[in-house]
Amino acid sequence: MNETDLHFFIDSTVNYFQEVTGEQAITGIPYLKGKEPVVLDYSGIIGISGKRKGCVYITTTSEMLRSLAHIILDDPKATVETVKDLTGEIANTISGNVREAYGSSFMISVPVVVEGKAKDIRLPEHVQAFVIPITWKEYRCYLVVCLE
Amino acid sequence: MSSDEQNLIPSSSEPVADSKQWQSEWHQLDQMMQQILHHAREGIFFLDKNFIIQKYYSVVLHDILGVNNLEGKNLIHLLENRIPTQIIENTKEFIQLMFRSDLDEEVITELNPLVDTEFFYEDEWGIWTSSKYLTFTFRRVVEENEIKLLVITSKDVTEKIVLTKKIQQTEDRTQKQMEWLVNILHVEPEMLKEFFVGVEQELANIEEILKNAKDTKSPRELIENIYRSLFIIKGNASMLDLRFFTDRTNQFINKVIKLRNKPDIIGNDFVPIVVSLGDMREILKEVQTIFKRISHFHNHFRTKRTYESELLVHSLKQLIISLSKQLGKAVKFDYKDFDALSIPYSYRNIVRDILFLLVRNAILYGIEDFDQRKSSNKDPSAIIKISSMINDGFLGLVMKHDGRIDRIERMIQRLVTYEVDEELPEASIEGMQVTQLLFTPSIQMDDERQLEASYSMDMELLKRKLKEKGGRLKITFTSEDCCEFKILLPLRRV
Repeated sequence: MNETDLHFFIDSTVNYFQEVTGEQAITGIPYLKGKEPVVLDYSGIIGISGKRKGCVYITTTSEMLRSLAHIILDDPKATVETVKDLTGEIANTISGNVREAYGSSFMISVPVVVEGKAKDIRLPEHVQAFVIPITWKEYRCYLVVCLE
Repeated sequence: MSSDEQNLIPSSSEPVADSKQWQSEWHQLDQMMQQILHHAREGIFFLDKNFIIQKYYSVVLHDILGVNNLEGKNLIHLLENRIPTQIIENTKEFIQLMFRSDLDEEVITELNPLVDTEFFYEDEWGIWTSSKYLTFTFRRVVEENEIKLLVITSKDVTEKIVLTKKIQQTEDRTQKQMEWLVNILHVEPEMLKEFFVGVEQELANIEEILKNAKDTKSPRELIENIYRSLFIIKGNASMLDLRFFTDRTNQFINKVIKLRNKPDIIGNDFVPIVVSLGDMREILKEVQTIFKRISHFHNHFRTKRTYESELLVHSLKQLIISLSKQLGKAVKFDYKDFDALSIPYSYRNIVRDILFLLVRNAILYGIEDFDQRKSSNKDPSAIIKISSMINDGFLGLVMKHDGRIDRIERMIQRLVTYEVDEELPEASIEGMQVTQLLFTPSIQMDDERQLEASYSMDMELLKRKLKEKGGRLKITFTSEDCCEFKILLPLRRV
């Protein structure tokens, strides 16, 4: 995993908030993921295979997703389904950007949305995972990148 | 292809049965075909020009492709989501070429994209967690000069590929590991273990700093703390002459310095730091693995006490020779008053650390180069003298050098000269001056300041080590041209 890759994933995520809501998201200080889980209410997971293997996921709170739904869909009372779809959409946007940047020699999976605070998201073993806290408005979410 | 071979191959169009005997033969042939396909260990199947898998295929293909009931399925669709789209496109094109009778089969076969290809398989979440390597071969089935079908064989070559990759990886890593091995062999296992624990602690410290940073309003404070931890690792690595570790830490430090020099710092700027931290973790893990492998031999060839004592002086000698040569300095080493055997076993490591640090710093920062000394009417060869004594329940160590005495050295002298239980004078005006001098970013850009900062970090490391053992350090200037470091370690605590 190099700096360029990590910057790429961060920029893809941060740009999503800017483009969709017009409000900038702020990147926090990244850190190495330890054994403790990094999981909030909803997580959108993308698998990456091909020349390099790994996994990227974004995990957010339902409050953040509801606030996003309010802005994007003008829906102040977003249902669980809407909130889940939004998680998938964020992950999909990242996935689309990754696909564009990494080319056809990589395989990018369709995002998988996990609801609820799972024990943890299973990541490839022996590969370091980086956690990037992202703050949008007053909400916090995490981008976790684990790529060979 | 012979006419006999052609007879064995089922045609894509059913022949019209014209006799009972023919029907019976056809039935027998069909049975035989089913038996072969049932017991074949390779995947065998027929494909038409629309990429459709035909009725006859070997059962093992279910396992190889991970899909049952393959008859009538489109091969290209089966490849989707298992291999990269680029290879799928190439496969499609390749199969189309295989059906073109104007193209030579042997030549086209060379273009086969499905050779040793990694296929990925999803888990229950739809994430690829397992993979295997497959190789496909393609041959034409020709009937009346027309390419009717392709007969395709597929084989699971995972074992072979994984082994080949492992060998390749091992070869690639051997060179690096050999370098590391040579680098650590000269260090005693206990010291190496202690070093690993230290690095582990400092890396964990950096990890904690980053993890707990959250919405910090003072990222510069974090940077300074990271810088400090790295200097401790670098100091320890240099003391043990672990060059690869020193180099890596230096690279990391350079990134921290670059970050520190930025006027405005945001979270994104920490990406190089966290990536370097990940790299350091990997290196530590690998070196520890090598260490575990060799520790058996280390213990087997454990040296005697007298030899260990000689080794200490010898190591210092080597340090002086190599460092002074590297820096264009001439240094004589006087150790006639140093009795390594008088050092209690429990102080052996700290004495070595202290002497290494002092000698290294004397050459790096104190002793002038050959020409400078000559032009100042000094003996072009500097002297480093070490001695030891036991007095009033203390083990005393003295390191003297006749190099330049700088302002910074004098200031640090006041900073580091303290009694065991005394408060360190950081809060004093002088202490603050030194701290400001060393850590104010605007004046830390030139090399000289960085050297001073490095010196200060080393001294802090030394202070910490001494404090742990209840020892003390004094720097005195016996004359304008001579600097003496005196260390006292209490024997009663041993």
